[in-house]
Amino acid sequence: MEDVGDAVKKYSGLILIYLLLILLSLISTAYLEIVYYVLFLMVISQSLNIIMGFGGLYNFGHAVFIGIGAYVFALLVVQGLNPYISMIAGGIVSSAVAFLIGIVVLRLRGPFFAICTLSTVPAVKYLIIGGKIAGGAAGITLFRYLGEAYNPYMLTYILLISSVAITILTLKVSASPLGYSLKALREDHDVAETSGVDTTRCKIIAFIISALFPGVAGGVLAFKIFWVMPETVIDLTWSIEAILIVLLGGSGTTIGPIIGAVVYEVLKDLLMRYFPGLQLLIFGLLVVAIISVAPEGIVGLLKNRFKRLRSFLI
Amino acid sequence: MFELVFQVLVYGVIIGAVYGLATMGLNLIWGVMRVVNFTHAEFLTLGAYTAYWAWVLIGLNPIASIPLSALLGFVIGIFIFYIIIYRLLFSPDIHSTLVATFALGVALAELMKVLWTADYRGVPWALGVIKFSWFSIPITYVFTFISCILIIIIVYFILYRTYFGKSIRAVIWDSGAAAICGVNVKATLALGFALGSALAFIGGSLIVIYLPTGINPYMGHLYLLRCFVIAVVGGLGNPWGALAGGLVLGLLEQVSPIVLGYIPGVEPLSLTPFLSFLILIIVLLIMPEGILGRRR
Amino acid sequence: MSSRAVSKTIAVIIAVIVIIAIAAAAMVMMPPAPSPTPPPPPTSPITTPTSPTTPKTTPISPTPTEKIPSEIRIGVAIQLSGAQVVEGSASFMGIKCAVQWINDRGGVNFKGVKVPLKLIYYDCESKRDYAVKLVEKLITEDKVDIVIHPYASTVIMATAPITEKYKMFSVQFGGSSDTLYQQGFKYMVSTHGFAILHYWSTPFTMIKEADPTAKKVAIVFKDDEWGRSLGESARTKAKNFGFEIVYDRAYPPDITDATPMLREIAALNPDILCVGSHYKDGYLIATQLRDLRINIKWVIAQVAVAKPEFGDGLGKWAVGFIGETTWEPECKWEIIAAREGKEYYGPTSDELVEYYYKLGGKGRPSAYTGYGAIAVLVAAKCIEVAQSLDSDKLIEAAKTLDFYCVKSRFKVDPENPAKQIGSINPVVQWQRGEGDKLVYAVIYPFEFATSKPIPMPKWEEKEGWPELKP
Repeated sequence: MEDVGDAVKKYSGLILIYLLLILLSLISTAYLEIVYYVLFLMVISQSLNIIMGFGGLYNFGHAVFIGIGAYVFALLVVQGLNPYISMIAGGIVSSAVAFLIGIVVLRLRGPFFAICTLSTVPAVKYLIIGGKIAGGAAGITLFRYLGEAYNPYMLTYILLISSVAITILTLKVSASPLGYSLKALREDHDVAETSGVDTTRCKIIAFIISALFPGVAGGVLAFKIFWVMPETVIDLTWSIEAILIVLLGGSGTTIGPIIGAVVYEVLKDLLMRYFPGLQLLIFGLLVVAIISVAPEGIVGLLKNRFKRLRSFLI
Repeated sequence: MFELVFQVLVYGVIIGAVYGLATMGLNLIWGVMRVVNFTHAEFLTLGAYTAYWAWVLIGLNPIASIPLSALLGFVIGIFIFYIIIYRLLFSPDIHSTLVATFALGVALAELMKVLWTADYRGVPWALGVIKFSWFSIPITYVFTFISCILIIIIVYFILYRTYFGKSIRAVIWDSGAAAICGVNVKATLALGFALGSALAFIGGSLIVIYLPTGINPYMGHLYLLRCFVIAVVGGLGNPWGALAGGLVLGLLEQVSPIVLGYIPGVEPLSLTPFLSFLILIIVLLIMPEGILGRRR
Repeated sequence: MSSRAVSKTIAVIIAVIVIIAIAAAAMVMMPPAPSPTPPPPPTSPITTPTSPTTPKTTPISPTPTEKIPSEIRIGVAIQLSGAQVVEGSASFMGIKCAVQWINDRGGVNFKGVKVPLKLIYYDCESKRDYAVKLVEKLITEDKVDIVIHPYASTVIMATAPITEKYKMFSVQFGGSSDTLYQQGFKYMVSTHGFAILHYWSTPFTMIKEADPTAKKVAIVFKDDEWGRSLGESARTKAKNFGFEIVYDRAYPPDITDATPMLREIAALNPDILCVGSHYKDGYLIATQLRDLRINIKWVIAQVAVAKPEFGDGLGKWAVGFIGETTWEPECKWEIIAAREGKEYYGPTSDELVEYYYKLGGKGRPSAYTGYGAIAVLVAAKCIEVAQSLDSDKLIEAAKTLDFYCVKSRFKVDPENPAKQIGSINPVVQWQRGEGDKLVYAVIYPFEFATSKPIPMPKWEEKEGWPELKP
């Protein structure tokens, strides 16, 4: 059994990373920008980890949750509601939509689930543009309502708090019956079913949880760019990045997406500075290499090479 | 009224055939090795660029450059299969090939950007039109359609009249049983992938005829989503399913703007893609094997 | 719970509280991002008034005078690659030409000294998010004095909030969507006319004069900022001119096939077709009009027509297309300036063309050259009038200006400097010239027009023509 010492050791890796991020953000506005992007990716990847890492379901439609959060935020802010409450509302609505999508889509497996969720992203985008919903392709401009209240530090720290919250949630889920059920159905869906796991219920709950914080992050995004329109907030790129980060860091681990997000963004920034124009090329090849060589991600690699780090890498 | 219907049917069928041809590769690769080939988008783009460079450097029109595209596609397909795909076919995670082909696609697109810049290019090949009393078809479209038919016949020939084709069909049906019967499954997979890739390249070359200026490294993604719709609706494991799906989508894209135009307050041309994705989702939920897929 | 579990939970909670406490403290202590205005120099010594009646109270220091910088830094994030490379790099060429012209004359007049301009620029690769990051970098890291926004309204809508956030004086030359002046931006001036205010009226006037029987108008436009403004503008102007609108639809920005739309339009038999497009879609629609052999007497297509590539790609089929442009080498605004008694500032079109070739430009300079040049000229003029680099003074100066330059007239609405009201669009049309030449004719303003407008010849007629070369 663990004592306080072990517990502190276990979480120290996480705490260290968060402290580092806070310190970095205080150095200059340039670093604040980087920390913002890292945290944004962290929040959405950690959320995805719940359904993808634990449940084994590659949700390519993850970006839709961000978009919904952004649109709800915009619609509420235009009505005069406090932006921070609007962000929370965005998260809640996003989870509700996840429930509705989930009951329909979660019965699919493997690549079919991937393709189906993949197509929800352009489906929602063209529905909004074609149906002229919430401004259609023009979207909603927010500068008039939010220009004065803009505070980049606030936005970054909201993401930080979200990340901490989802970390705690991940830890709790991981050790809970829900977590074990998800891991079971990830390994073998049919065996889990016959063993008595209510796979449908577990999948839906995981799906809902995975949509909450991306919704909030969508609101943060909307606040940052002052303009919500289908092209900017419903972007397949985030789904892809989230999936890549989860794989890169270590699918199914708590610290995996955190490390993955940091490494990903740092890598992207470095490549942008020293190999501008080539960054995605190198990136794509790197990902292919990682998938072939290290399917367990960075956490897996570290655990195998450095046995002493095992207790830190939860 | 009759004129409109006729026009719509003709255009829908012609472009549907091209879409179908462009998607056949996707269906084939899925059928043979259960891999969702996200690199398909970049294969289409590479096919388009092949047509472009053939035009600029040698003066070949897109239809004449089909053999060139096919050859290039075949070679590149074999290359990619042996370097990347084969390794991942047996990994425990069924999604590895998905992510790998996607990442490879991104890398290829960026490579094209580095080599040929992201500028938009076009092949302005126009031969005039055939004029009926009420509408006209560009002659290039007619040639495209004829080429599609010819290529489909050639593919049929390959699949049903050669040993290679037979082994592909065997592996699609049941790879274990095929191996027992003495089929070299690995070679078949490789050739199947290469054939799929070649078909994608050909599709890309033909699409150029419809895009006077749209060739750029990222164009594949515009078509990839359409290809998924076609592949799923038509039946993933079946190459002919791609044709069926292609016709459905081609006709849908011509008909739906007109029908949607009667609904006030919407933009029909933007709502049409939504309809196509809605159909994809519904088909996946109700009838995942598609129109021509195997009924389980 | 066992005591161990309790300790564990306590440890977790403590850690979380520590993190949140630090974060909250940072939020409270951190001042808002500093504005980029130069730090006030040390105040000059107090001068006491000589009059004995003035009470000797707290010493008053006079307004600190700004130091004279060694160079004035202009920051530009522009599309030098990617989807908008054509427009971006051509505009950038214009910017470079204007900077060179000013620097060849010593620079900008700043407090009796000529200060040269320095251009600090980055390629935003036609990616909106990247442009935003780069503009922020220009302001915070490179510490530029003035920002010129990238091309295209959609991008400017994203970068403008950044310059506004830092209260930095900025110039936008590349956005003509009316939403740009409806957001409440305070420190941005626009150099180019807007869709709703300025577009369509001149072509409509000319068509009405040349063809009084023209009645039915079909409108199609791209579903993005620019396209929608054009659509709105066309709708309003068509009504004002007494035309009947028979078709009015948007098309998705990534359209690959316009035939369903064009077929519907053909069935309605309009006299005028208004296409609110950018380059790629405008070109697509032109080719598909040709392929479907749809004959419409007057076709006005924005942006796509006003480019040499249009004629290169379509050859003889391009004849008849009308477009509104921003600048052409034939423009001689100095004539109009002289006639109206207004100042003409900056190079003439001929001089600009000279600089274009001097800096390595090839072929015919496109409209974007003038488009980019005026941004620099306006910035320089504002500095000269304000005699300061302070954003408030610069924007006040901008509100007072009314002058002509290589790209027509610059006059902004004093209440809303992001709203350009003086700009005039020349109108062009592709025509068949003598000796089977493809001519890119300027048909308005009449002071330097090279020919008169003609209705679009039928496709069947054009079939019979030989290939036309420019």
